[in-house]
Amino acid sequence: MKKKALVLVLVLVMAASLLAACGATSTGSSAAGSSAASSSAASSSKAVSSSSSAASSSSAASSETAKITGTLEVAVFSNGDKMDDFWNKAVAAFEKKYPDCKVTLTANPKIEDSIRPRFVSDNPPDIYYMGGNANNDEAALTAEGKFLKLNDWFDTATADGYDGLLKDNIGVKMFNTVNNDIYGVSFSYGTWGYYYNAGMAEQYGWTAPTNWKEFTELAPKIKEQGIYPMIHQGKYPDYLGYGLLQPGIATDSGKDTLVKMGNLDAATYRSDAVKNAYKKFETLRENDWVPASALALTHTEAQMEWLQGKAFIIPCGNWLEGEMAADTPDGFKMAYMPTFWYDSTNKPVYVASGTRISIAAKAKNSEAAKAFLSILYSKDMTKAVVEDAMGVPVMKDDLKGLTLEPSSQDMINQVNSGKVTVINEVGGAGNFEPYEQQRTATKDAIAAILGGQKDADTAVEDLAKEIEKIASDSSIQKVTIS
Amino acid sequence: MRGAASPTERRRPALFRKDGLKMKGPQAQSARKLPNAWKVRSRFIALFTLPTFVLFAVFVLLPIVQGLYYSFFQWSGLSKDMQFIGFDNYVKLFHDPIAWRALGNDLKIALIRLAFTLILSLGTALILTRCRVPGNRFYRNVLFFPVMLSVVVICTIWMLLVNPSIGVVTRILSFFGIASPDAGWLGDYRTALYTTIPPAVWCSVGFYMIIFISAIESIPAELFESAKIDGVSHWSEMWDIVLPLLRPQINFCVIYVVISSMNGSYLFVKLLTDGGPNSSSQVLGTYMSLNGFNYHQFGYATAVAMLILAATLVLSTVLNRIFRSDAYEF
Repeated sequence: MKKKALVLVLVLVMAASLLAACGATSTGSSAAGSSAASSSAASSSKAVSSSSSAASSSSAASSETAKITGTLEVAVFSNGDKMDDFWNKAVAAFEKKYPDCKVTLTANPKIEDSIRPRFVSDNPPDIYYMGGNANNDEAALTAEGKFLKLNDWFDTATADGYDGLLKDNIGVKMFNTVNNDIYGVSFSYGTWGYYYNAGMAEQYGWTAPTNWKEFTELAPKIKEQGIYPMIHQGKYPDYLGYGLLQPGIATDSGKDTLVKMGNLDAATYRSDAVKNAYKKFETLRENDWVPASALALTHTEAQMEWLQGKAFIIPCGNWLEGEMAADTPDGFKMAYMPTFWYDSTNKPVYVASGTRISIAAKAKNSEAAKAFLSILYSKDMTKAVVEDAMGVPVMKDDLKGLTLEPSSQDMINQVNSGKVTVINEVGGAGNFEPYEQQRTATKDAIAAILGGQKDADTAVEDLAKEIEKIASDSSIQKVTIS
Repeated sequence: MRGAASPTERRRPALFRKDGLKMKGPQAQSARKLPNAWKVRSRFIALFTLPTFVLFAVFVLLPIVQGLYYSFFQWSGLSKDMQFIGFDNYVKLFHDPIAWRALGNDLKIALIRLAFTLILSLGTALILTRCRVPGNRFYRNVLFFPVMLSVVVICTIWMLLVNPSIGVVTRILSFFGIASPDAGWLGDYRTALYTTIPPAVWCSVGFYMIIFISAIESIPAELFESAKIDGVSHWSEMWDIVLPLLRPQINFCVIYVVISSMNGSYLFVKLLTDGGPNSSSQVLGTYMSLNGFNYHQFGYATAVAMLILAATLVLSTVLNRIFRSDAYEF
């Protein structure tokens, strides 16, 4: 009898825990719901209109502070201590300036899992920072009208520590823009390019290539030493696409080519500019300048191989030092360069991209949310961007006394020297590729060429056909980038 | 014989026999005199099956019905706006070459995994029960251990084992000249799909081995003694005595491996290859996930899910017919 009772209790406990897990709600949603400010309700209904009053300027600081009350829910991607520090600083700065408004911060590396269903049920957080995989939802959320238009805020916002308006102090505009309407802004940016082993370069007297001709002349010399000229994060061909291919195409034929590709113009995909860019992958494979097995490697595996000296070059965004800090051998020297994937004598291009932060169209406290955005562009937070390795600040700032990550500093030095051009990405997530189907098709084409499954001409033709299919698929909401 | 009451059933009081209501004669009259007994029995059965049925209905049936409903809509999954489009998703699915490739990959995985799982689990069960193996219990525990590991752990271990630079498996095979030492199987379009199968087999062999061991150990020893007296060889014993008596368990193994493969190959492919390179290792599960969570086409993704369901039902029905067997009681 006792045994039966014990079994029954165990079964009930298991069932109860199962049901409890089903009933769990996200933190902060009830807190956000209790926001009482009627002014915020009025302004959130105004915010979607493009004619919201510019008269509500921020010149009257005390009245602005008085307007910011209630609670503010901020949901952000954060993948570690430094990112957590950054967001905690932002919240502290906001609450110091607006003591009547309390912030509920939710930060985790899989933020999209908890926030996505809240957008579906029209109960979103006030602010959403879409880093990591959350980035994938940005374009779709924008198309669904889930974000507030920020044009009026951007036209009148100021940033503490900088004179004048915010828009006059921004150096690099990393916005999620659709038909000139701003739906997301970024306070920092990064670029894609490649890293090379500077210690190896010193040892063998190699110079990092600045164009395709230099690479093809250097590669055989590297192979003679039993080292691969390049390795790549094979499982994620994006690294090759964004680090080398895309900026290479932009270098040879301009940003307009990327814009046309982003707008699903199949004829541009079939153009010589694009075909020549893809043919270079064929050259890599035919000459064994990249390991065939690289296609099996994750990003950290490939980067580890590079740190162990198996290859000279690796494409990456300018975050490699931070990501591999724990695995970088003592004394290892790395340097960062823009793409060499081009044939012309034009200045190489960096494509700048930034993770964006947006205000929900159905935010319960949009006034406070706008004020929070302004805080992110303040002098203190610009400093925090550098200190917490959130990328390069977008503000026009000499960053005196601050030390950028070495690759970011390399990039800034190159830009300041006039040897490199920077173009800003457009199209929401994806560097001139607004559609996830498009990104998949590009990755598949690169993998097919490097894996020997297709030659470059066939891969590009199949890619162009895929682009035509995407363009004619009425179930995919189209945007026009410019 | 099919339908005939087994000896156990015949010994049961008429009141509680399955065929009680169909009986004729005095026993049937006594059964019908106390209908409350049947009600009591029915209530007893309902009380213990209802919770399971409720859970099954909520977590299995309801999602299937909901999925079928969503498959007739165009829905991004990020808002409440859904547009009814009838069978358009199914028409698109029919013309989608990647979906057909994914279905083919799923069938390949299911059949290869079934073959290896069946052979290895049955083989180890036979060895551990019919042969005197020192440390028998130890081997049972060791072989069962992967069943308890998370799939993520198994896939991480496997990725290290087949890593082109440090992989032990690639090194051993290259020593015997079977593979090149820096082979990157997970990145080769010819081998990526098949390289996802070994960890799936490894993590499930122990489970079926235990089922077979239990079944073999329940075979009366008298049968083996009689066979030994008659001079039956080990091979004949296995083919003519053990395997026929294991038909129900083999049937269960076949159906369960196929179902778990059709549904579970997603995890292994997602973790090991993410459907690449160039969609060569795409399976329906990863393709469904890609359409739902990356392409934000939940309507189409649920149509793919319905294809998974249909394929699983068809395959398991066919295999159930092939491996259909009678039950034996001792």
